[in-house]
Formats: sequence, structure tokens, C-alpha cells
Amino acid sequence: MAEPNWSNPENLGPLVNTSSDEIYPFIDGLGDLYFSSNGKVGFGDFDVWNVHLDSLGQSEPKLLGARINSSFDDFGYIIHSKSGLGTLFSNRDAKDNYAPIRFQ
Amino acid sequence: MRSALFIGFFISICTGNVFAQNTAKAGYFFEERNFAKAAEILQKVHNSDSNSALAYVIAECHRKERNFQLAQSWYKRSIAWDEPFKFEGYILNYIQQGSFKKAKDFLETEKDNIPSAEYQQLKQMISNNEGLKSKDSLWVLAEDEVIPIFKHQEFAHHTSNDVFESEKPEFVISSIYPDKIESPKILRQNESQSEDKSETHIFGLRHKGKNIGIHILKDENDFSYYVYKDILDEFYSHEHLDEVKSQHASIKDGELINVIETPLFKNDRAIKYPSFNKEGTVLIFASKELSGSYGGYDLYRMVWPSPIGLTLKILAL
Repeated sequence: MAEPNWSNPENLGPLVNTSSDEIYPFIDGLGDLYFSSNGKVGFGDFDVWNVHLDSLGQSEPKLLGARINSSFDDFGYIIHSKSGLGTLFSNRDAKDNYAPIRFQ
Repeated sequence: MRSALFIGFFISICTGNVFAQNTAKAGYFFEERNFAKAAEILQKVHNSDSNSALAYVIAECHRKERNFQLAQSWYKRSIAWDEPFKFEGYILNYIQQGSFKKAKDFLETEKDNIPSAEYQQLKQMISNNEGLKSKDSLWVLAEDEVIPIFKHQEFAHHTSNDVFESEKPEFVISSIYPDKIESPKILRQNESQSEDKSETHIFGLRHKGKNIGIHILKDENDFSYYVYKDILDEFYSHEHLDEVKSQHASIKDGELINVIETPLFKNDRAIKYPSFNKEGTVLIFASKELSGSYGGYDLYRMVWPSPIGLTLKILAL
């Protein structure tokens, strides 16, 4: 029997991807995919969106709320699903300074 | 970094010679995220010959500068034109002020002017945000504060483009780059098992049969953490990196199960920000160099064939 192997890379399609940038994917312990995009209408330039892995290609990603997203760049979102602790990076407090932000 | 929405607006605006030069200049400042300057330029060229799109872009510039009142006045001008109007910005302007009732009222007032799919999407957008306090409910970590989840002192640097574009090789097994982890803690397998019997997921890096680092995700603990030992300078070369293997396994009741090879990207500039699911069977990453791209960086998925459980190799710790 042939050994199993990884599938070829598959583009996640137009529900996720845009003509601009989708970056910083992160999959949490419950299978939710978080990523940042500057090609979707959001609060600022880069905003954080999420969609469950099982819904890829079927459901529109959801824009995370105003608690997470700001008028500026928000990316690098990571969350521990059980504790609810997470971090992201944002320049909401100073345009030229990307600082870590912790939330729960 | 480009925003397709606004590029589209600027292209549509630029079709008139009168506006072309200044709107192009404004577009540049918008790209540079100098929204105040972009708005200033656009407001100067705005006149009775302008269109809804121009007013909308001005409104968006003010919203991004958090000048919500000013933004609203421009949204109102934009919507006054007898042209297709995008409602997202107008509603986001309310949401960002925490004015959810106003956002809902506005949506209901304009319901007949909005395509039903867009209406539902906007309604959902309001609902998703409702109840959340706005912007300032988060706090910024002090420089010397350790991020509890990953115990990762240099996390800020990890996210900067400077690091990603550096010449250092990237031992990539997840969304964290181990060469940026300070003070790696050594943890051996028996230590990892002693605390609980819950299932643990583990990523391992191996070089010529020797472990050079592991990444453990423990389901029941409050945090995930990385454990590395002996990541030596000698590995900072393409030659050695080509020999590095990455594997994923689960530890259950002290046994390593479901060991699989995982893709390891060695300073491959086509691959950015890889992230695995906890089982190690789905990998999502960003790339702007693969076929089928919609533009810029796109996200891609690679999947380990289901069902998993075939023991290919044992990860010896």
C-alpha cells in the first residue's frame, strides 16, 4: 500500500482570499481558522476574520468584533480556545509601532 | 499592502481628467495609510462634479482616523448621489462608536435600497459586534511582560517584516519561529507525561535522527508552549536545513501514536505563516507565489489524508 502523503496546496477560494493580502492564519484548538485581510471591508486596513475549517468554501468568514479589530492594522491573532487567552498585534495606539495586545 | 476596495474606487474616480492627478496622489497617501492627508487632498478636489465613490472614500479616510462625526457627514453626502452606495462603511462607523441601535435603525431605514444578501450580511455584522465594548477594552503589554500563552519574549519581533525578510533560516513548524524563542526550556518526554494523562499533540524537528526541538500542545493546560533544545548555529544554513525533518505525533497514556511527517518549509519565501490544526492533519499557510492566486498573499490548505493513525515512524525522544 502506498504511503499516505500531504495533498497539494489548495487555494482557499474567493470566500477567504481577495486581490489584496490574506496573512497570519492561525488554527485554534476547536478548528477555527483566524486570519488577517486587508482586502475585505472591515474596521481598518488589516482586520482579523474567522471561519471554521469545516466551513471553508461554504461560509463567508466573519469579521471579529470591534474589541479585536481597530481602525488600524490588526493581525497575528492567536487564541487558546480553552482559556480564552489570546494575543494579536496592532498599531492602534501608535501608527508606526506594532505592539502586542493581550485579551481574554 | 493594497486594499482592493479602495483601489477600485480610485480607479473609478481617476477616469475624469480633472481629478486624475490629485486622486492618484490621494491614493498614494491612502496606501501609505496617511488617511488624513488622503482626505485633505480629496476634499480639495471634491466639487459638484464629483461622485458618490469619492465622497465614500473621504468618509472612509475619516473613519479610519476615528473622526466619526466627519466620516458620517461624508457618508451622508455619498448616499445622497443617485448611484450605487456601499453601506458597510456607514454601518461600521456606527459600530465603532458603539452605536448599535443607530446602526440597526439605519439598516432598517435603507433596507429597500440594499440587495437582500448584502442586507443579511450587514445585519450579521452588527449582531457579531453587539455587546462588545469598543476599542479601548484591550490593553497593551509592557515591554518586559511575558506573553503567558507562548512564553515568547520576542513575539513582537516575530511579527515584523524585518524578521520575515531576514536571511536567517526559518525552522517553521507552526506559526511561531523557534529561532526567535528566548531561553528555550528543556522538557523531556517523561516530564511531559507526569502532569496529566490527557492527549498531547507534539511537533518534532529532527536532524539526522536527532531531535533538535519539539513543540507541545497540551489540551488541558492553560497554555501551549514550545520546548527546544540545542538549536545550534550550525543549523542556520540551507545545507543542514535540507536534512531537517518535521513530524507530528500524539502522546496518549505515555505512548506515541499517529506519527506523521509534516511539511517543513526551510526558508522558503513562497511559504509564509504556516499553521497546523492541533491534530497536525491540516496545514494553512500564506503564499503569493503559487498558482491560482487571487492576488497578493492568498491562503492555501494542505491536508493529510484521512483517516490518520498509520504509524510511519516513531519519534524517539
